[in-house]
Amino acid sequence: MSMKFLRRAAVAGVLVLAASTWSTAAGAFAEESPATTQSPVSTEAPSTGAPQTEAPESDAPATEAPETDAPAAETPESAAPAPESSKPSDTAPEASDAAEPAPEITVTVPEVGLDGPTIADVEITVSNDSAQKMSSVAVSFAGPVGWQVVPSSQKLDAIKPGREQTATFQIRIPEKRPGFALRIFTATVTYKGGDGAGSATGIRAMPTSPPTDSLAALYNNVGITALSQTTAGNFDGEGNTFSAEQLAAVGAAPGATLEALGATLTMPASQPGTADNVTAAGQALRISGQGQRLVFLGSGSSLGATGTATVFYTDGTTSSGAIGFPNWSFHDENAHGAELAISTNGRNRPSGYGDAAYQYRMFAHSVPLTAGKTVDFVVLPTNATMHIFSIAVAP
Amino acid sequence: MTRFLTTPRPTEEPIIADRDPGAFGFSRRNLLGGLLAGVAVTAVVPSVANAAIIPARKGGATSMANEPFEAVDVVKIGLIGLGNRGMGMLNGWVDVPGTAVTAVCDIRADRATTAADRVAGKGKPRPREYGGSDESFQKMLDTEELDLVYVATPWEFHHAHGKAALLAGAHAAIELPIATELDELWDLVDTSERTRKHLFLAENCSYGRNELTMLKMAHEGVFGDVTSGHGGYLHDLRSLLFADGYYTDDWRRLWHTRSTASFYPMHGLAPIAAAMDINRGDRLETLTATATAARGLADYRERFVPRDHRSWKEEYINGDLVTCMITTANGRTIRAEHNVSQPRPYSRINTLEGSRGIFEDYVGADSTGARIYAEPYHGGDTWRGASAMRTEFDHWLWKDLEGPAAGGGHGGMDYILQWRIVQQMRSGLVPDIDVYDSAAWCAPVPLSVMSLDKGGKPVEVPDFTRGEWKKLRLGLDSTRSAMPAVV
Repeated sequence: MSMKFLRRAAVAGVLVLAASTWSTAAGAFAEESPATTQSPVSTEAPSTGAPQTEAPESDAPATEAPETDAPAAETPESAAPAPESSKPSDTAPEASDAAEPAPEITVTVPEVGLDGPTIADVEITVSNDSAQKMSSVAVSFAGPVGWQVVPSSQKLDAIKPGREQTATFQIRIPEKRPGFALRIFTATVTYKGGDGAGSATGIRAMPTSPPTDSLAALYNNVGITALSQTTAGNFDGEGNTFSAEQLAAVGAAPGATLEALGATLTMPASQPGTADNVTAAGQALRISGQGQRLVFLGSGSSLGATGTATVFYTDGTTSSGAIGFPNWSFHDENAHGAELAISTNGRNRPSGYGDAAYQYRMFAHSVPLTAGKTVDFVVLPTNATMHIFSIAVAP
Repeated sequence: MTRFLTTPRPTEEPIIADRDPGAFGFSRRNLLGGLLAGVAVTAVVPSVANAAIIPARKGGATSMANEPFEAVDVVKIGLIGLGNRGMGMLNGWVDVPGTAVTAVCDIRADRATTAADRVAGKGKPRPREYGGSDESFQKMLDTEELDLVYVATPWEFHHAHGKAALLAGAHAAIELPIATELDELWDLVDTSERTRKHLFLAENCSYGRNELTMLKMAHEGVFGDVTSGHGGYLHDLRSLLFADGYYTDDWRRLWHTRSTASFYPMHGLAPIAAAMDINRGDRLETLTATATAARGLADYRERFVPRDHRSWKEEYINGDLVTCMITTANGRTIRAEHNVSQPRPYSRINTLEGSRGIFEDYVGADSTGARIYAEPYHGGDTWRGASAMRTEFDHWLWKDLEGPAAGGGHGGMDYILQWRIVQQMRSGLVPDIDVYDSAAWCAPVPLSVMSLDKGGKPVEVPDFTRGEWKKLRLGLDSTRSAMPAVV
């Protein structure tokens, strides 16, 4: 079970080639050869004479690797795409049916057993399909953040055209945890000669379990309370919460629907004082449908409630985008590119309703979806100050 | 071979004073940082380079890293030292499934008899008794066929007793520290490699529930890339140090008269070292020590100890707070503290911090006593009690043994330690803690003296693994396995 990304990154970050495979048969990931024809791509000016294609933002893993129960492993800057615009957009990532050229220098990361605790040997393969010899070859390997790898890098002998070499690394695999986590392993080779690009990166992303079927099942925070029990929640880490009565007064009672960014969002059906939102920690949520964008209703309990959401499609491809919510109060309502969705007067404090002179708000934000593709699931950002109350596809 | 089973007395030269210079050109006298009260120390301070020397292996010896125990059906155990600690651990050695305490030894024969009575009283075969002289332990080792020798004698005897156990063909579990000098630590490493027997620190705190949780969270990456840790042994022992009879012949208080060392930081250092995979991908590299003035014991004596007490002949030279700042090869830092001489609530500190979070113990946040803050789990710059994450990251040993360990010594850590040692030996597993871990964790004892003698300059920590630290190994974050059935 795996998902594989292969990409080649050019020196100075101009050239990136990416491909990914993703199979969701029976809810599982299946390793496939790089399905480059399925990957939405765009092109940019090449830096070498080799076929060059820029990595599509929609096809690469998020810069913050989504994991449910662990901090994300970040892909190297050289390989990671820039976050997409955080502004709502009607323009889906551009898809292409044209076959990508086969990469000349490839780095292959094998499947890594995730059933720890154990020490695993990982054999990285560097293949030279260019017309020139690769020299000064050095390979580095990394797993999710905090997972120890030795050595951090290795030098390899020169690789002749048509040949490959391997480098073996040790990695400490922790105990397998319940819930969804996407474990990302990255190997990067630097070299002289070969295709002239100077570096190439291989990535393997491995999930630990299927996504969760409902957002309610992911709720892990109480952000709305009633006047009768204001101590039952803690939205901001200080015991303060949205007021259920104030929300109802603006039409946002439990189960109510609202329109935002073209989507119909449903307020949590939870009763006040019970879990009603998820603090984003890389959880995976199964969502079905096609549309222009995936819309999130949420709010921030900090000024930095931002992150990257990654959408996985039924055809094995992915797209990703940055989203963010302003702080629920005292923050520009369009901060991080969000749009105001709900505004209430005052909030519930542990001592009761108060701060009536101030607005406490929820916002909408979205990531674009790839046209013509069916969403399979989304992996949430990893930022616990980002509270998500609802998610929906905007047709 | 010199055999000690007496304790030094304040009026006599420390037992190690006449020892020949060790393999590194310095004597135990030098490393103890002082001798008796009022005796000027003119010793030559060992050089930094000496501490960094890695002696070549002799006689074809090979590493004990990743070396499993040879499996045995029943672990035959002999105990040396039956004072507070030794007697306190006796029940556990008897109670763990698949053990037989076959011999007990103490220089005071009556203690051996008491221990044997206790074993027999639990319905087990009566162990043979050894005692009455400082040669008794050797007689026991020469007579008995033991699988494991547990040593709980005063610190100054640990090296001799541990080495003798290895030479007698047994594995050795040694109370803290396994030795107090660098040449002794190397000697135990070499003897373990030569005899192919394991010698390890019986570090119960390595099996503390919070400590193991912290370890598993570190390996999961909860704290991101771990960058620093802080541990220690902060325990107000003043009343015990001056309590006649508690530490036989005042052995522990006398260490405060003749050494400036950080005697006993291992309880806090070992869990931090484990969470940083020291000797399993990283290693301790340099140590810098500072020490406060020695005020606490004298102040306590002034207020609470009668003027005719023998302690009034003593001068305390061990700083109340001795702090070791340790750097690692991977660029981490560790602060290891030792303070047993001042009034304060107990703490081993247990703080671990990295690029994405922090864990702090002994802060009373909730029932665990610990608190945590880690991205992306938490937000709002607000501490969380550790109970929820401890439930999630609880070590299998605690999940499986919480019941049997309940009521055991030190909150159950002692029983978990003993159970795991026995299980590893009966199952033929690789020990969680080996001689290299033990030597590294105990190295601050002599190295703190060296650094203090140099005005607080850094000294190098020897690589007891001789390069094996660069390889990952499992250690305390182990895979769940059962205790073999007792036939």
